Amino acid sequence: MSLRKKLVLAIGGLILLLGVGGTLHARLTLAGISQDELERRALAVSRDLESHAGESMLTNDIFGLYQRINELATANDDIRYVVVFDAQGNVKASTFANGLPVGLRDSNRAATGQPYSLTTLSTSEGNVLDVAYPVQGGRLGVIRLGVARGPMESEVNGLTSNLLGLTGAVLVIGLIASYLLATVLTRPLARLTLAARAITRGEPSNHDELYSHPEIGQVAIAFDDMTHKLREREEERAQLLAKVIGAQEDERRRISRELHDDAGQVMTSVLLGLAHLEQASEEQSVQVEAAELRAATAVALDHLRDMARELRPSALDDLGLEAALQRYVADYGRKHAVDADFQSQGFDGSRLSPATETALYRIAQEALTNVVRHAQAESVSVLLERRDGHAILVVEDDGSGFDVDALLHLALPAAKLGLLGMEERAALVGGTLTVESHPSKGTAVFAEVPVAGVGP
Amino acid sequence: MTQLRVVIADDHAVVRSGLRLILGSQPDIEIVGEAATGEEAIRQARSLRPDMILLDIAMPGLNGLEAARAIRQEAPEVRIVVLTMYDDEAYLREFLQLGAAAYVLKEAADTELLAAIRAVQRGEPFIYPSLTRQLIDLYLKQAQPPLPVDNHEAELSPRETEVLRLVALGLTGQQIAGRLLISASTVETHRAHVMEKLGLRGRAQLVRYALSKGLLQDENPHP
Repeated sequence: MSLRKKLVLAIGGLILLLGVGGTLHARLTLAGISQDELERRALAVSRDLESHAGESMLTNDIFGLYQRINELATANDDIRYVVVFDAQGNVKASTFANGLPVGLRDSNRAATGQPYSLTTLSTSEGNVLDVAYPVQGGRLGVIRLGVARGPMESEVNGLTSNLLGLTGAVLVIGLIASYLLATVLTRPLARLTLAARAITRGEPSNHDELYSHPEIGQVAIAFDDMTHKLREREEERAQLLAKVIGAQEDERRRISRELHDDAGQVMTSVLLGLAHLEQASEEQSVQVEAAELRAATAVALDHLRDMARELRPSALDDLGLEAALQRYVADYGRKHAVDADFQSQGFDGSRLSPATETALYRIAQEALTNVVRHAQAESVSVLLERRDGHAILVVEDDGSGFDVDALLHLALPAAKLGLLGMEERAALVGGTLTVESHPSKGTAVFAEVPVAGVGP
Repeated sequence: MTQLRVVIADDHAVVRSGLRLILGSQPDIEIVGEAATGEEAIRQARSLRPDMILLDIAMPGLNGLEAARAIRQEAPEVRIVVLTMYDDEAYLREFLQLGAAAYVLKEAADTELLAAIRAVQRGEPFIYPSLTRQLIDLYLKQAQPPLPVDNHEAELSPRETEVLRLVALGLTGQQIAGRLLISASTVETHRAHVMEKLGLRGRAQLVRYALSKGLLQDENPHP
């Protein structure tokens, strides 16, 4: 559900709840008050009438009584009827011109000792509050007074509908206001969304006005930071990719040249030698020639083997990382005249996943290549450990070292691409890469990779 | 003279024909079969029961290592002569452990192969000379006492021993500093003292020292 809908619904619901609840409460209170008021008035009228009725009945002034009750009924719109019974229950005086309605007589009766009795009668003219008021304690008779509830009820109903109408009006205003409020609130978000989409499409986005917004501004700034970081990362990846492609091309060039220079030249000389051999007649010279050709071929074979191993040592596949790395470090030490020391522990012939073995092998290769290129080290240690579901590779030299932070913050990232390449390799197999180095204190490259239980 | 029955296992026909040429010149050697894959090599060893099998390592399907393993199991009397491009000492060690009789490099097949076959025929092992050199180097390195200055061990302080242990476990300077609640430069200082006192150079030597002292047993650096 959108923020706008939520806001409108919440505010609308609140107004409705308050309005209806308030109206209900007001209606109940008002009805109670009106009821009390009505009863009080009916009783007051009855009490007043009682003293007159008592006197009239004692003096048998029935006409005076009749006049009085008719005046009373005429003067008060809501007094529906007045009936005076004598002690025997005969009608002494009544406002009913055509006789008592059926059932009225017995519909209300004050019990002995009670000063009066109130009841509500449902009549064809609406609800009527009926008072039975005994005259002189009932010895002379009883007065029955009927007051219409209608005016009071319609007053309460009128008020209720007024309040409901007001609630409706407020509800409409509230809904409009909350809709507008939601619009105001969500507009910066909508703009942020537009900006994000623009960036996704690679278009420049201009959302400066977002910054001035107190809350959304923070989001916009965080969003900007993220965009910035993503762009940086994207650029780094692009450069890395370019480097990878470039390195691949360099590698192919080198292999091509070596194939041509080493194997190709030797094959040419062998070819020429064999042609010569075909024509040679003396057994002595044949033997000499053949021995030379054999020696040349052996050298070419040696070079081919080295090239093949440099590309990818078969030992890495057949025997595992430990054996391949040991061999690589030994060759590396001989080739570059560095004291290269390899130590492994925790492997005992066990293997890692092919991807992990390749990643760690290449990281070690890259780190050792960097040592030759930059470190001017006298000795380098390669450590390979396996323990508790982790494989750790450490390549550490005693060379010139460098400032890691400075390198990583370099504007020109060419120098850090080697490090990023190792990081990517580690990350691809779920691992992490750490480089610790200080100028003149050597460099240590740590690769830590989680390994599953590819058993020994 | 009894004939020496030989099977040639190599995935390259050129190599097989070259070997035929060399071995064919020997009157007492009979080539009874050829195989181009590891599986074929195993089958031929099993069915032909040759005296000897010339086995390449890099073959499609099962490679030479796996084939040798199976042959040793199923036809242990067949003597295995490894003929390969790989001069890795690790391969050599694997094959020797498996019970191969000879290990010859292809680049020396012209000169050394016959010598190797004859040696094996006499019941002697044969290893290509330049690999023998590697083996000796390795043996010497392993036989070396790992700690040049063993008697200085007592001088390490408990803190230094702890730093040595964590360095040997492959932790970064930051990780060690975090573990011991000291600064990274203090870790460096401790480590420098340890190296100096023990006369060690490089992390690999530290690890060997720590291993020899049993400092790395049952350790869990990733709590």
